[in-house]
Amino acid sequence: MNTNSSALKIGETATITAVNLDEIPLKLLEMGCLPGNKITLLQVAPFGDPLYFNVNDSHVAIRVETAKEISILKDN
Amino acid sequence: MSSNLIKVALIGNPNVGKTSVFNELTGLNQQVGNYPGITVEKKQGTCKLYDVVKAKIIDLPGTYSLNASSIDENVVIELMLNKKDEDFPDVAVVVTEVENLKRNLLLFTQIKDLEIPTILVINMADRMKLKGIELDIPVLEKELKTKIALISSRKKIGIDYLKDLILNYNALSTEPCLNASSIDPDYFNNLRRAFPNQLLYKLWLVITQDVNFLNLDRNEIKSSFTIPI
Repeated sequence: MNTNSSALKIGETATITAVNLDEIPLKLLEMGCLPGNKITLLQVAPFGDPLYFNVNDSHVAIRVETAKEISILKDN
Repeated sequence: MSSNLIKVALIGNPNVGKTSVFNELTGLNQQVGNYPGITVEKKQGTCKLYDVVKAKIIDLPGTYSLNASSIDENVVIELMLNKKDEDFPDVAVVVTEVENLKRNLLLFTQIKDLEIPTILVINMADRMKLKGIELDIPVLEKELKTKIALISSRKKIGIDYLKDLILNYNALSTEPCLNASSIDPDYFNNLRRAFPNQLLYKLWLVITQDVNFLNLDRNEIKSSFTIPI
């Protein structure tokens, strides 16, 4: 199913299919937030934002706004 | 400059053990710690490789890439992109560690793209067995076009091999991992003609990223070279 990373549930893993290069900070790309890599939602902060992900074995907290710019394909 | 002095820069992601490797090579005792950001300036020491050959080892702050986002990361870029700097290395030693090798390789490829002889050091090799990690070094060496030293600075394994590699740095390939200028040869040839004294990679960084160098005005370059998309 094609969606974006803000739609993941805790513990779910997906493969990144595309990232919006204009909105995603360079630092995130450097850490491996790139098409083809795995992304797992680990935790959600109170009030639902930010989201805590494991991207390419780096643990990062990303705003929902930014997470929406990461397109994913959920693993089944 | 004496030809018997090899200048070596230690580069790597934060917290991979660059300073530990530095201490092993030089016999010095710089402060090390298991947290990122502990080295914030250039430190240097000498290492005797053979009876007549010495190496000047420069320990640099950790950085994830050449696109700096903090002042200590800028130290690395200023050095690596300034060929006239007295500390500009003859050979770069990119230090990585077994557990986060994949993330570390971004920096390695960036350094290699500067066409400086680059040795890849994979530190913390003593943890491989514990973590169930296996590495096919010959395949990695072939793909990355370099020599790899698998070392453990804690257990003092592989340091002598690293010294041998530094000594023979002339034998290393300086072929970049990615030759970006092949995308648009005309554009890059013009750029090279306009700024013959600057590294092409540096110009490209200035044009595409929000970085500034001491003697290079971003706006001047940008006004004559707009980015083709």
